[in-house]
Amino acid sequence: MTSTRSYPKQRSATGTAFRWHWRKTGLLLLLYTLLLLVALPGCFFLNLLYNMSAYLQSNYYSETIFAVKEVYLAQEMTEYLNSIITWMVIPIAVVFAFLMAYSSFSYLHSRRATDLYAALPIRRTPMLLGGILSNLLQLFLPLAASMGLVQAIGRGYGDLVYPFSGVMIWEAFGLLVLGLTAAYLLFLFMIVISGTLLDTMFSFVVLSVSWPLLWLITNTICEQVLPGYVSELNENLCFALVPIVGTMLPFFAFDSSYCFPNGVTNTTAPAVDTAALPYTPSLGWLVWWLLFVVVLLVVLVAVFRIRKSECAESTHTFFLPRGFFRMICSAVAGLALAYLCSAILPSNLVFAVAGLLGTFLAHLFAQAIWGRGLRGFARTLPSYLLLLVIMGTAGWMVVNDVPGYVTYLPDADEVESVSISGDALSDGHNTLDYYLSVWDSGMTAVLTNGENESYSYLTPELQSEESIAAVLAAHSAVLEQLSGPYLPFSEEEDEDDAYLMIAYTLKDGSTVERNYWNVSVSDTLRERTGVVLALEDYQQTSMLNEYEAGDIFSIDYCRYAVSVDWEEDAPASDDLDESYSYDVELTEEQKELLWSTFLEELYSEDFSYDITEEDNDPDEDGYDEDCYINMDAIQRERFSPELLALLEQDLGEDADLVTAIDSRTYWVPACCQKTRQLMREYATGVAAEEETN
Amino acid sequence: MIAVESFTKKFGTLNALDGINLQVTEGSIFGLIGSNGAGKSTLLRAISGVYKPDDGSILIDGEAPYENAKVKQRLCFVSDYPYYSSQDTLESLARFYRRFYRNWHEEEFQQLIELFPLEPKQRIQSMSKGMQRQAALICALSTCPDYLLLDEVFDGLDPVMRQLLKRVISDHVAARDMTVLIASHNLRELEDFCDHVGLLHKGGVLIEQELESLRLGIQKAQAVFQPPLDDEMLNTLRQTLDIVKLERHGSLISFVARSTEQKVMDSLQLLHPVFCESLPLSLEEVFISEMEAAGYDIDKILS
Repeated sequence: MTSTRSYPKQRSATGTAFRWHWRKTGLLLLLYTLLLLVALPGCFFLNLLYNMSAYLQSNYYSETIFAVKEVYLAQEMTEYLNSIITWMVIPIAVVFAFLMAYSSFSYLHSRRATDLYAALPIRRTPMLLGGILSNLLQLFLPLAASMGLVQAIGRGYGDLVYPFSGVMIWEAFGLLVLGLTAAYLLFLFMIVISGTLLDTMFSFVVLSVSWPLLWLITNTICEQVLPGYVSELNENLCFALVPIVGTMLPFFAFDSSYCFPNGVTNTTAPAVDTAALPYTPSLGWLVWWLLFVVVLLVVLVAVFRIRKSECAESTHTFFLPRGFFRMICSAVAGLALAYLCSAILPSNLVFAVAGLLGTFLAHLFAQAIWGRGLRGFARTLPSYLLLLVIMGTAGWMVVNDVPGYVTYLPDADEVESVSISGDALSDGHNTLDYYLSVWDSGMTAVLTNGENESYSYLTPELQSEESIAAVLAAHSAVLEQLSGPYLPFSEEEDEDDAYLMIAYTLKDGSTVERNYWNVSVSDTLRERTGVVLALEDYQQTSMLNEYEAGDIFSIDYCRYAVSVDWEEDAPASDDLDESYSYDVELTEEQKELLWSTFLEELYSEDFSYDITEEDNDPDEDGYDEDCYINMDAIQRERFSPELLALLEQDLGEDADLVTAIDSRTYWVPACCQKTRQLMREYATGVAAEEETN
Repeated sequence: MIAVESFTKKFGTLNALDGINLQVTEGSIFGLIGSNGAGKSTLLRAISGVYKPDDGSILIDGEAPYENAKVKQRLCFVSDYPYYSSQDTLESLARFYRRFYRNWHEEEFQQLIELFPLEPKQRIQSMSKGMQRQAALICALSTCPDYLLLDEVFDGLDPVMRQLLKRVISDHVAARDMTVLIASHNLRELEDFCDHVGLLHKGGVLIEQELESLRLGIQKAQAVFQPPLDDEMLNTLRQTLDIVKLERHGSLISFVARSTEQKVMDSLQLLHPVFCESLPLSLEEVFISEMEAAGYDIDKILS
């Protein structure tokens, strides 16, 4: 019998595999396409119609930038589009990515199927690559088509809907391609290294849950252990091995205000600037996920080639990845149990024992699932011991601050700027310096994008050499108090300790931040923080420098009777009948006089900010008083160049959106007798008027 | 030619096949027999490139089949439980094989589906076990392989289908010099089909021989002596013949000996029997005799 070669001899093996995989997942493709068409263009179109109708029926926006219908629609539709991409398209695509991967490669988990597929005249690499290519194309072609339809709908309903959503659509598509590829490849990797679907799912879940938890718990424990440690929980790091979350972070962080080009918020005739990208993933994020995809693909090919066919339906698969997953989840369980138990019974011993118990139980549990029992448990003990060695070494390094985190103090030459705050800074300093700097420094900027308002607190950035040296000196005074080992629980904790925050911006662009929650304010530290408070550039960010008399909105004056029987060492009851409190609006002349008097007393040598002694002393009639000056917000038009520079430095791009510096209230200390006298007169006048009325 | 040299395959700590040697010449039908767990399926999977040898080598015309698409194009493996997806029909299965096997012979496929009573559009999973095997065999034969590897292929087939299948395979062997390696635990099934046989037991090859020479080289005979043979005469018989097994019941002796029929009869005639005859040995009897001679408990091996 002569064979009839009815098919061309030279046929690409990858192409053959591609066509076979394409056909195998054809039904999924159909279902996926239908769902996407409903979720993307379908929902988008219906919502567009709804918004157009709602807009026409309302004149709510007539006084705003949304007087232009297309601007309103662009705003609404970009937000809605991101919502459906985030909460509908991504879940659908992720589910189908997994379904397609499993549909194409489930034969790896079936002995009978493996007999058929592994005996086929095709090498493993083209079989894998053909499948990956087919699955990914089936994921992305319907997505691209749906996105294209959304763009067409946007183009058909006004010029402005299209540019905003158009840029967004294709940027989102690019991010989705990257994210879904990463998620798909990781799931496929789990399929390849597993013998059953249960193993696949368990491995995938263990990695996806354990990896973020490992960083979260480690970070929490470091905060507890290391003095000055600032939470450095980077969400990109937390989800670095969890692509279904990590790659979707730009979608979760989407802010529709980025869809609006500069100037849109200030004009009713917005210019179209499609250069602005609505999603702004960092370069690091982009590089990591590109690397993740490339490396995973290479590893996947390597693992697929060496995978033994007899792994199907078997627990004998790849030791290394499984060991890695088991170690991560054991470490997480150990740290979590240690943290929880020591929260109930605060003790370093409890911490250590609970940690050991947690790792062992998690190891036992994971092995019982992966190994279908504990028959091979003894063989996994070396990996458990390795985990204990790694955790022990890491713990020892942290406790003894081997990396030098606690003792690190940057060189003055390296520091570009520094900020410092906290009650440890003001402890024992009842002076004008304190009033000008600590109490008043920092401004709350009001940000707006035309619709929503948000607030940002600005802290002074000290940049002079003198300031940097002064803060470094104060910081070194804190470090002198510290000594290792730094255990989770210390017997020397003192509830009266103070808080201090120091943040350096180095010349290389990096930042170093330390938060000390239990600083003991020694004489040395008090002396050095006094130097910091007196710094000229520390005080220049005080709002006192920005306010004018006309900014006084009102004054609050409160006089109340206090009868104190000091002999008995206990206060008698207040005579409420003799107390009064007034919120008084002043005339322009009164404001001028009050403000000049207040500043004069603030800058006089007699100024003393002391709340603990004089303020609690009643006058000879047995009355005490409280005085506050309420200042109005400062609008953007009033900003000085220095203030604008500070805003830009602190807020970056957001500085453009700042419309006002928030209003605030100044307490008038008892030493400001003239100011208080004026306020008393203004308030008494109001009281007299009210009595007359 | 399929050459298996010092082939070893382990599953965890279990040595499924331990350094076995085997040769299957072109155009032969080689029966691989052995009890359950002897390693027949493992060997077939390794030859078809499903398993990678842990040690030793498997060569098909000088090339290893594992990860070798060129070699695999020339062989086809039908496993003991052929795999079908829930939607597979004979037609879709043919499309699948056609996609991967360059030697797919459409005309042959059409002839085979006429020969075997299968409905091409029927879902295979709804077919009987025997029909499912037929579907796999039809596709396998349509790829016109040079090497056809069959694992327990006769299980579930009715006698008519078994004979039909044997005939079709024999036709392919005759027409294309196709080599067939067929594994079974049923000796009787292979008796009239194979020209070579190999017996696997506990991961090793106990016997590998041409079936005809195996049969011709071993004889069963029985004879009646009056008076019965004494021990001295029996020893004389043992010295002249390589007797594997001997039983004596009064004046009747029956024995199996490694020898030709002529020599056995001549040896008996010298002792003047009242009656003597040489009986044909079934393959099963040949194996039982050989195994017992080798010191194996045949009941355990072929149970």
